[in-house]
Amino acid sequence: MLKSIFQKTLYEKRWMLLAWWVGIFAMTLLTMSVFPFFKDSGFEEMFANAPKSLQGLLGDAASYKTVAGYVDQQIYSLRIPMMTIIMAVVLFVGVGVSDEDRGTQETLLSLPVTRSQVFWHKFAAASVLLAIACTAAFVAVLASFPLIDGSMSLVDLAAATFGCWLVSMVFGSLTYGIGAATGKRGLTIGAASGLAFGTYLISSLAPAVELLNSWQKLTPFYYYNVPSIAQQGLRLSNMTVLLGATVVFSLAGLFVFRKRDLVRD
Amino acid sequence: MPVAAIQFKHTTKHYGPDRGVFDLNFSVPRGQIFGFLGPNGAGKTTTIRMMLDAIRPSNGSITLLGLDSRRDSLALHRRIGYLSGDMEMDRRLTGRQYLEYVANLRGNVPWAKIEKLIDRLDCQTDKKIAYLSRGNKQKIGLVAALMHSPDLLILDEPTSGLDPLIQDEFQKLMREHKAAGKTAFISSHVLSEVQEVCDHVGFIREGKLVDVQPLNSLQRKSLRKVRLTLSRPNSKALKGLKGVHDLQIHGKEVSCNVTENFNGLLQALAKLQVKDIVIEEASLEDMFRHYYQESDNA
Repeated sequence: MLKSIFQKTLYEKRWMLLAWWVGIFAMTLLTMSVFPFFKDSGFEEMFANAPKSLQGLLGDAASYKTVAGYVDQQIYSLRIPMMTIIMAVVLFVGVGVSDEDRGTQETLLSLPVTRSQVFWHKFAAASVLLAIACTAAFVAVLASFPLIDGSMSLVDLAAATFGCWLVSMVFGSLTYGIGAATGKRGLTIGAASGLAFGTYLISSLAPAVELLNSWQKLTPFYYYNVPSIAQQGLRLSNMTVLLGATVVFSLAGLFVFRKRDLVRD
Repeated sequence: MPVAAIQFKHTTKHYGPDRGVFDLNFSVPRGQIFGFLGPNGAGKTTTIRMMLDAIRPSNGSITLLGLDSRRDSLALHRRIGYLSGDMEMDRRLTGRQYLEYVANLRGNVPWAKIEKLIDRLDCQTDKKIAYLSRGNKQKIGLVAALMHSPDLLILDEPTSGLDPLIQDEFQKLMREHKAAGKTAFISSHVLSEVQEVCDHVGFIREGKLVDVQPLNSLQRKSLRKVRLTLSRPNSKALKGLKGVHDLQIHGKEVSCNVTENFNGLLQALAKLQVKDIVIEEASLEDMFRHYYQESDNA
C-alpha cells in the first residue's frame, strides 16, 4: 500500500479528498437543480435593464437559457474553480511546505530518496487528488440531467472540467513552488492566497473597468474560460499557457528546493 | 591507511556572526561509537543536519564512509540510519505502516528483521504515531534507523524517553553494531546516555569543538570528586591548591574536584584533622562542566 511517496501521499490525503469531493458534488448538484428557474424566469429582461458594468460581471444573459450556458456561467465560471483553487492551495501547502514545517520532510530526506524524487512524487499525488476532486463537478452535472430534464455535450463538459483542473493546477503549482523555494508555510499561504484573490479580482473586474483590461492577460483566469469552454470547447493556446505556467512554477520551485537548506523551527 | 567513517574538514555553518558551528575539524575511525556532547543550542543538531545534507556547510566539507555528504548523499543515505531528536514522523500512520513505508523506500529490508527489532525494543506498532508517547515514538524511530543494518548510525538524543530496560537493550544493540565493525555518531546533552557505549567523546560548545577524547582516557585523566569532614572548620588551608577545583566549604564540610594530581590536597590535609573522606570517580557531567570552565578560563 505505502510503496512510494506518491502512494503514501494519496493514502494520507484520502479523507481530505472525500470531503472536498462531496462538497463540490453537493454544491454543483444544488446549483444545477435551480436551472429550470433560471430558464423560465424573465432573467434576460432583468439583465437588459442592468447597468453595463454589472452586465459585464454577470455574463451573457442569453446563455442562462441553455444547459451548456448555465453550466458555464453558474458552475465553471466562478463557483467550482474557486473551490478547486482553494483546495489546490490547501493541498499543495499540505503536501509540501507543511511537511517541512513539521520536520517530516527532513526525516524523509534522510532515507535514500533525492529531493527531486520527493518533490515530483508529492506533486504528482497532489495533481491526481485535485483531478479526482474536479470530477465531482462533472459527475454532479451529469447526475443533474434527469432532474432538470436537459443535457449538454459530454465532451464540452469534460473539457470544462479539464480546464478547471488546469487553472487550479496553476495556483497549486504556484503554491507548491513558493513553498519549495522558501520552506515558509505562512509566507506560502499568504502569497498564494493573495495572488489567487488578486488575479481573480483583476479578471472579474476587467470587463467593467477599462484600466484593468490590459492587466487581465497576466491572470490565469483570462486563459481559463475565455471563450467559455463548456459552450465552445478547449482552446489549445489557452491550455498551453496554463500548462506552461504550471510547469514554470514547479520547475522554479524545484530549482531552489534542490539548492537550499531545509527549514526547521 | 583506512578511510575514516566520519571526517569533518574545517566545516562551518553560519547563521549570523555568533550562531552556527565553526571550523569543525575532526574524524571518527570506522568501528567506533562516538559521543557528541554539548548543552542545548551548542550546535549538535546543526552538525547532524549537515551530515545528512539537510543543510549545507558555509565552508569546509564532510566525508562519511569515504563519500561526500553533499555530492553523494543518495548513496550515503542507503548506508546511514538516522534517528531524529524531535521524532518527526508521519503522525497519521500507525507505527507498523510507518515502518513498512520506510522499508519500502529503503528496499530489500526483510520484514522478519524488522519484527525482531520490534520485539527487542518492545514497540507499539498498532497505534497511530500521533497517539504514541515520546518513548514509543523513539522506539519506532530506532527500528527505522536500524532495520537495514546501516554502516553508520546517526542518532540525536536516542534514549532520552526510553525506560531503563529498553535503554539496556539499546546499549546491547550499540555493542552489536560496534562488534560488526560499524560506526555510530550519538549526540546528547545527557552524558550518561553515551557513557555506557561510546569509545570517544567530543565536546561542543557555542558551535566550537572544545575537545575530542577517548572515553577511557577521560576517565583515567579523571576528575575525582572529594568530600571531606574536618574536625574544625578551616576555610583557608585548602584554598588555591594545585589541581583542586570547585572548592566549596560549609563549616566542617568540604567538597571539591581534583584533577590528575592529589599531592597538593594530601599535603594540605596532613596538617588538618580529617574525620571522614570520600573520593569518588567524577561523572562525565562533572567532567563536562570542568572542560567548559577550562575553556572559559583559556
